[in-house]
Amino acid sequence: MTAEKKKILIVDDEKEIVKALSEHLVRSGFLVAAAYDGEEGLEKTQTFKPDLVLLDVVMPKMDGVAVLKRLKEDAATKHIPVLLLTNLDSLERVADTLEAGGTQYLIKSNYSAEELEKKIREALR
Amino acid sequence: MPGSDTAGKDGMVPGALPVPEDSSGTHERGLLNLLEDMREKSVQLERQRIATFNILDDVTEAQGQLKQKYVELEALKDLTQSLGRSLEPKNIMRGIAEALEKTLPEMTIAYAAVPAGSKIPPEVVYIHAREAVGKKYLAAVKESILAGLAAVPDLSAAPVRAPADRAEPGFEFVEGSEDAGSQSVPRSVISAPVVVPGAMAGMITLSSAKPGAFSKNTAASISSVIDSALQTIGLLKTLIASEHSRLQDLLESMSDAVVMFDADRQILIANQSMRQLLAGGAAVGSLDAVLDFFKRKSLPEETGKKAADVSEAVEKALASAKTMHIEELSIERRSFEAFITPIRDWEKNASGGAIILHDITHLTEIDRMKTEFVSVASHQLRTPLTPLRLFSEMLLNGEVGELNPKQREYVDSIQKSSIRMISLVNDLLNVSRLETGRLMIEPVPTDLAEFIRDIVQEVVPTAAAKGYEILFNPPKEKLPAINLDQTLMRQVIHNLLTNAIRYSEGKGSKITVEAGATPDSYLVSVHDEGIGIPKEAQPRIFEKFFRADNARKAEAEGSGLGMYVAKMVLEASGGKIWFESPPKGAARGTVFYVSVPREGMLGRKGEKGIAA
Repeated sequence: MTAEKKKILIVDDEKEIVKALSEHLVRSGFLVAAAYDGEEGLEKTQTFKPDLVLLDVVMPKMDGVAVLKRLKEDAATKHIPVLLLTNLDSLERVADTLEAGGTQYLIKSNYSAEELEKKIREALR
Repeated sequence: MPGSDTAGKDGMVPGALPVPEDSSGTHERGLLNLLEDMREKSVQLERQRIATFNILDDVTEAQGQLKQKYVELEALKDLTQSLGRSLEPKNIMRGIAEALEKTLPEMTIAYAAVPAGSKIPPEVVYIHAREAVGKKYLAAVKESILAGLAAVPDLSAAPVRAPADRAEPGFEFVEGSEDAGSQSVPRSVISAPVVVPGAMAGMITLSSAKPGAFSKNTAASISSVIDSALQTIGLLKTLIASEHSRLQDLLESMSDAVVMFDADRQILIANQSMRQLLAGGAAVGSLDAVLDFFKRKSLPEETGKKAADVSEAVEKALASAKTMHIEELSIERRSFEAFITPIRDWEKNASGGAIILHDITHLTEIDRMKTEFVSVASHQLRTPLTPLRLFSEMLLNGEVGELNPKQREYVDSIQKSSIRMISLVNDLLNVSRLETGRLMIEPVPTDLAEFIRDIVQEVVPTAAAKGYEILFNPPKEKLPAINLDQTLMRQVIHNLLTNAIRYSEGKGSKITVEAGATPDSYLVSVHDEGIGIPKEAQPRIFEKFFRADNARKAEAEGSGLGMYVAKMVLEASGGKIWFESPPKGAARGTVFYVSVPREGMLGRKGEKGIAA
């Protein structure tokens, strides 16, 4: 009996990142969907119903922090674990509130694909 | 003497001149002439005696006058000093009264003064009583003073008597006291006005119950003292005005904002820069209004900085007579460095202070721009580096097919370069934070031995791959938990270990790590047997991007900022880093020491440091 594949939604406007992450995650046995801006991210959360969201911060139309806020406000989505992936050096004032709310924020460039996968698996447990 | 009775038997007086028998007439004339001479001489002597006594009298009088003058001069000197202290009407009158006391010690002196142009009679008449004075005496003195004041041109419109609703002036005894039983009235009275145009009008009355107590010199003395006082006052006022004007000019020309206040916390001078700063708010009246303005305008919620508490610094400066310094305070979005300095008068008493605000907005602006630039740049640089790293790693781990050895080699190189660039970006961010004082240091209680062992474990494979051995010597006794910022300390130790590996040489080369306690610190050392650091390079090891000549082979690795960041981080947290190359007693190699104080690393608020 194969375990059901976990669904990951990647929200990031950088196509290269999305490609690298999604291809790796697919090879590792996940189902992956992608959104390229905040609004699309929210839509796809509703339709794709992911088990975890990888969320970039700097995006057009709506940034990751705003998306996160909406996700946490919505009863239907607030239980979904979110990993904020960003290349901003720090979100000083925001970081503490984020981490207090149980959302990790990771600096993308500091992790290898395998390390990111490890973080994802930890968040899914 | 001729004609003496002691003539002998023969008619001859012994020793007398022979007297011809028929010269008795001539003899009488001779006697008369002699008598006349004697009388004349006697009169002359008497005249001389009288003249001498007259000269003595004159000298005595002159001496008396000199003494008097001397006393006057002394009194004037004291008066001048007293005036220098304060030009308040009360003080002027008192100074004059005291000077007069010295020159005319038996007189009772009373005085009162009112500000120039005042229509109100004085509240108090001061009196230095030198004899018993009762109600009658006092009433008479008061009359004389009020009458005198009414006669002063400035105040001629003033009523002689106080209007019904105003109290009559009361008496204040500076010397002596009221004698209820005394019925005496002043029999000798002199009054003199003391008028300082535009400032005050006063009346001083000298009196005594004895009639004829004043000599012709008294009036002259009094005039002399009052005139000198008025002259001195005039000079002082001119001097003060001129100094004030110079000071004002100086302050106005300064770009720093300056406000000076006196001992009563009233503002003396606020220069143009300060007036502009305050233009939004405080009327420049009191110090407290100005301090309140600073506090309100520091916008703590917006800038995130603490509300400017200049008040505290002002109190400290006044209490300790030392200049206080505030590194940065913000007022309406501008940043200032503040100096608060107490001012002392010529007797070294605190007589107010000054607040000087030096605009450093452009400096903080530059810092802010630097921070923003580094922030934006790092984000932009990391963006393409991320997929670069991810793809090259995925190629290397074979998840999209195996690479042939050459391909592996090339991709490995790509991956290492991308990792190196990412490190560089991280280091630049930390350097920026360190240099603008924004690096957060968060110490947590840590088991030092375990902490070091973990880091050592991480690098064992790298060392082993090159054939080097890493040994860890833990502390001899169990150490208590030490406050360390683990992220930062890990970076430092990891850096030292990678360097030790990088610069080691020869198979079997040993790298030894030790951790322990000294009397006043905790110490970690990393020792290698490698190529060492040449003497010329040693002073520069902690510089940004510095590489010693013999390290050329390791050029391709590391960001060049490791040592710089390590030193800055340790120093910012109260610790130290240093090295010996070669170590004492050895021929080659290097040993690095890192120490933190017994209390652990000092914490600091700021932005989170080196990315994991």
